[in-house]
Amino acid sequence: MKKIATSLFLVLAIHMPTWTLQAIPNQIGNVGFVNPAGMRFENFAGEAKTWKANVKLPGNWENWSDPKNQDSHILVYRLDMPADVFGIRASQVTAQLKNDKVLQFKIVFEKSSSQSASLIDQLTTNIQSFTGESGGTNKNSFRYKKINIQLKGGSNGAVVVTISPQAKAVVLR
Amino acid sequence: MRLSLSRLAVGRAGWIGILLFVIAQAHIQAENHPFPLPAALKDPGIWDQPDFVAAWQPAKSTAKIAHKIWPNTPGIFGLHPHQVSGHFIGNRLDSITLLFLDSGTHFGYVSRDKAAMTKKMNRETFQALHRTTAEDVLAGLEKLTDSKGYPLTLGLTPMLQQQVLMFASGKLTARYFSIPEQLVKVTFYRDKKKAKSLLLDPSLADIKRRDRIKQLTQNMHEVENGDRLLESIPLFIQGDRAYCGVSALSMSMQYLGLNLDTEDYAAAAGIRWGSTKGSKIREVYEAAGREANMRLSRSTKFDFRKARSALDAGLPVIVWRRWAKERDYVHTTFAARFAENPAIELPKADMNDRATWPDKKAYSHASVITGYNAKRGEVIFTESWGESARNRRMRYEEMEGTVYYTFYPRL
Repeated sequence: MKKIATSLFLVLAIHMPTWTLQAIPNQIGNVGFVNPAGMRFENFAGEAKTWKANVKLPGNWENWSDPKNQDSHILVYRLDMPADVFGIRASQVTAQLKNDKVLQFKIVFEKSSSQSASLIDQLTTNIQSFTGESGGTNKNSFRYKKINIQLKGGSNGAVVVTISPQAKAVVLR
Repeated sequence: MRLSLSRLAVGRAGWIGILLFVIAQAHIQAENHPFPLPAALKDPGIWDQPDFVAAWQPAKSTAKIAHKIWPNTPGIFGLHPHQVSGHFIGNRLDSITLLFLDSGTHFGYVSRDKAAMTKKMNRETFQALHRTTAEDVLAGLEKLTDSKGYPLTLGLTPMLQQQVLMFASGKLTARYFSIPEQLVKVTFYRDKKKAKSLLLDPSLADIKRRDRIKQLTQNMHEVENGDRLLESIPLFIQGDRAYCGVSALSMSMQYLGLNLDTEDYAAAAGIRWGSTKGSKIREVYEAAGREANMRLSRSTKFDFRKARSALDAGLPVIVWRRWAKERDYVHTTFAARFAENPAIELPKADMNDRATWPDKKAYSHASVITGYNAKRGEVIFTESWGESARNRRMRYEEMEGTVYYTFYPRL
């Protein structure tokens, strides 16, 4: 594992000058997951290789005990660093894996005081812009490359987005 | 499985390895692109050598005027400048600027609420750094040119007037400029007349108004899909600095012939300690207009019709607008999809869409309007973030709904 970490650090070190040339104002949105991954989370989820066996998830992930996970063969990891997903800071990102293969990503968003628009409206608009799809009748189901993106309102204005491969969507209950 | 890098011990050997690797990379980069000293600061012949020209980055630029960066920061006068930039007109290197100290680069972006603390904590240290940097650069210039230089006042308006020191450096002319607590830079010019002027072309002041209008109007191009674009606006990257307002100004004004850099405007506006707090950016806009022998008229609204008239006359429009990263995502992703499929259109602004626009609580940001598509109801704008942020699109209703100042240049 030390070798993996060292290799990842070397990759980061090599690419560091490129990041500093990024001119995103105030580095807003250019923090957390995007740096080790070299791309936004949703772009990473859209990559075919993300869903293949033995994928290396970039960034910091930690074991996570999901009370909703009833299947002992499914391991849940939580992203332990900030991530903007669909342009909005996520409060929690988890990955569910079985046999070293990602089954699903679950992203939870909570409304912040600085946001004027309803969180679900903002996410719907942004996912529509990302995928180029309207989201169907309920504006909550999108397809992008070979993934499904499902959007669901939670309690207290929170929103849960699940991302899974189109062929074998697995939903944990 | 656990991939938490922060909690995994890389090991002492790993860290040493990383450090050595980074140092080695920097050495390789410097060795691959050694800045030819002192020849490049004396001999314009070097400036025309293909290898020298090819080393500047980015290699390609869509605009006639381009700021390119030397891939490393060589040691010059015993110092390492923040940046060595080449000012290209067409593919010809016109001048080289050594930016030894810039307040915005030194401090990075500092939010307004932290500005006073940043000043309090750093003022004395930064003043001392400015003093020693200015002394070292001047000593280096005197040694390089074997002269003390001579003073010159450039510019007409008090805000943008520069008290500079001029040096003859071989076949080049060097211009030293310093503002306490802000800036130390030296620019080397091929052309002595240009070195002594704030105009890109000193003869610009003599061009008749109607000829200038004709020249500028010719810069507007219509493309197949109905886009009308000003394609020759240079792009100056603001970096992690509170410089969007002054970068937008320098991009527009260099296109209009005023040869001042982003850092010059930042210094004139007093953007200090990394923050725009207490700065006079609006006043600097007015001064820049006067320096370029035009007016930058200001409105608290964005008027699509008025902006179209200005653009059709070859005049870029600057907007100050409310900005939120959540909404910027729509413009970024649309630009990416549009590049793949130019047939796609932005959805018309309905109530839901309007609810996602940034409001008064949002950040302030400056953009340059570089075109429009009347048929599609789109404003085309460019950000000072890099070529990837050139010619983005926004429905005109959104621009009207989020802009709080528009600056229209008028001849």
